[in-house]
Amino acid sequence: MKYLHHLIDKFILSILGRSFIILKDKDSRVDKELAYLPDYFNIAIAVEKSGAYIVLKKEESELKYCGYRSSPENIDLKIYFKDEEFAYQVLAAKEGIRQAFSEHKLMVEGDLEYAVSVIYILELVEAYIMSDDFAERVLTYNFNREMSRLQLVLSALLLFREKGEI
Amino acid sequence: METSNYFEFFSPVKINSGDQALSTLNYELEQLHVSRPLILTNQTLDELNILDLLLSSITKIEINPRQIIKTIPNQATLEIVKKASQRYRDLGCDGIIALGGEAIIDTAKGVNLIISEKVDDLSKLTGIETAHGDMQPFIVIPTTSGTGSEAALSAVISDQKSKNNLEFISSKLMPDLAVIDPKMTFTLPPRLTASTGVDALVHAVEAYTGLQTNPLSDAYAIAALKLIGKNLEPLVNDVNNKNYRVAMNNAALMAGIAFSNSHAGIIHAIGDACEKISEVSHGDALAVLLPHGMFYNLKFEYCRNSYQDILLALEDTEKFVNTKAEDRALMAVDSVVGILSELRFLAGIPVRLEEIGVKRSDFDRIVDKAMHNSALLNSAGQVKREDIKSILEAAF
Repeated sequence: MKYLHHLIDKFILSILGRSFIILKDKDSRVDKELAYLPDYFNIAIAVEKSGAYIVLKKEESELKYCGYRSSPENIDLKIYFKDEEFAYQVLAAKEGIRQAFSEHKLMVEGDLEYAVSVIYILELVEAYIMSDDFAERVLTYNFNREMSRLQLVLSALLLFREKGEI
Repeated sequence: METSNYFEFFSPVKINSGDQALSTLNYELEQLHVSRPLILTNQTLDELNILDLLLSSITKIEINPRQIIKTIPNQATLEIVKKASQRYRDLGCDGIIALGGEAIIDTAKGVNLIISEKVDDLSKLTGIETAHGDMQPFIVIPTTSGTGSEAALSAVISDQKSKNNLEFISSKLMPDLAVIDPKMTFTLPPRLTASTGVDALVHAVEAYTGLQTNPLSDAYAIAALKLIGKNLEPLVNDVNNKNYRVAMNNAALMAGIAFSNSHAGIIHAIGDACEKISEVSHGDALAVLLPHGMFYNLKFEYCRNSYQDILLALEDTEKFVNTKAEDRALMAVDSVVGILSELRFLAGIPVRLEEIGVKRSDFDRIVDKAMHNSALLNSAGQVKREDIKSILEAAF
C-alpha cells in the first residue's frame, strides 16, 4: 500500500507542477498570485525532504517546469511534507493543503510569505484537478474553473519540460 | 470548512514563575552547565536597574562586563544578531540569557541559531524547522508580559539591507528556561501593561478559534482567558499589584504556549501587516482589530461555538447561564469590547486605526501583506482580500 501511495504522490505532484504552468496563462487568480513572487525565483516541492523535488522556475515573468530533480541546488523556496503519508492525504484529495500547513505537516525552507503564495496556488490547482466536492470543501466558496479539468490535465501531460541546470 | 483531527503539541520550556523566581538562577545555570553566559538586554532596562536585579541574582559565577550587550534595538536585526554571535564566539560563551521583550528574545534566538547551526548567514535558515543542530543553553527573562515570546517557537529578524523581515519557526528556538518574576515587570506603565495584556488576549482568542485548535492548546488558551478576564483591568488600574502582575505574566505565557502550537489567525495577520506597512505599534493595532476580527469570525459556526467558551472564560458563570445559547458568541465579542473600553478609559488604548496612524491609502498594501501572512492559513474560512478590506474599513 505504501508503494502505491508513493506512486500516486509522485504522479499527482508532477501533474500539479505541470498544471501550475498551464494555469498561469489560463487562470487570472493563479497569474495574480504568481505576480507576488519575485522574478528569477526557483521553487522546489517534494513529498518528503529526502525525495525528488519538482522544480519550477519563474524567469522574466514566465514560469517553467523543470521536472523532478534530486537534491536540487539554487532553490529559493523548498516545500516538502514531513512524511510521505501526509503528502498522500493532500495529493489524494483527502485533506486540503491549507489544513496540512496548519497541522504542521508541511515544512518550508525559505521566505514564508512566498510559501503562502505557493500554497494558495497549489490549492487552486488542486481544486481544478480534483472533484467539485473537494474544491467546495477546501475552498469553501463556489469555485469556477476558467478552463475545463480535461483540457488542463491533457495540456499538463503534454507540457514541455525544461532541461539543463536550474 | 475542514477542521483538524490531527495535532502536534510541543512545549519543552521549564518555567519558574512568581516571587523569587530570579533567585533560582544560580541553580538553573548550574543545571544547564552554563558558566559564561552572554546576556542580551537594552539601555532602558539598564537605566531602570532591571539589569542590576538580574546581575545581583547571579552570585555563583562571575560576569565579565563584555558578556553583557546592552545595545539590542527595538527590532531584532541581522546586524545585531551577527555582532552578538561574534561576541559569543570571542568570549567562548556557553549559554545565552535574554533579558527584555520580544526584540531582545528574538535576537537571542537568532544568536542561538547562528552558533548552534554553525552558519554565518542567518537568512539561509528562514522557514519552518530548518534548524537541526544541538542548541546552546538558553534562558529567557521577560520584562514585558504579553508577547509570549518566552514560550514561542518563532522569531522575526529584520534584514535592513533588503528591508525584509525574516521569519524563523522551529521547535529548536524555544528556550530551556523562562524565569518570570513580577519584579521584572513592575516598571511597565499602565498604557504598556494594557497593550501587552491585549496582545495576550488576542493570542488566546486566536489560538482557541484557529483551524489547529486542539485539546492541549485549548487548555492553555482557556486558562489564559480566565486569568485575563479577572486580572487585566485590575492590573492596569493598579500596576504595582503583585498578585495581578503575576497572574497576567502567567496568562501571557500560557497564551504564548497556546498560539505557538495552534497558530494565530486573521487578527494577528492584519495586525502584523499594519505594523509592517504603517509602522504602528503591534499591540495598538491588535487592540483596535480584535473586536472587528472576532465579529468577522461570527459568520462561521465553528467560531461561534468556540466563542461561547470564551464568554464563559472571560465572564462569570451567571452571565453565561443568563445569556441565551444563540446569543453567547455575540456576547463574547461584547465582553471583549467591554474589556477594551475599560482599558481605553484607564490607559487610553486606541480604538480606531486612524488614531494610531494607519492611513486609508495604506490599505491595499496592508491587505497584500496580510494575505501572505502564514497565520491567515490557520484562520476560519477562506479569507479573501475583500474580507480583510472590510475589517480594515470597520476598524478605521
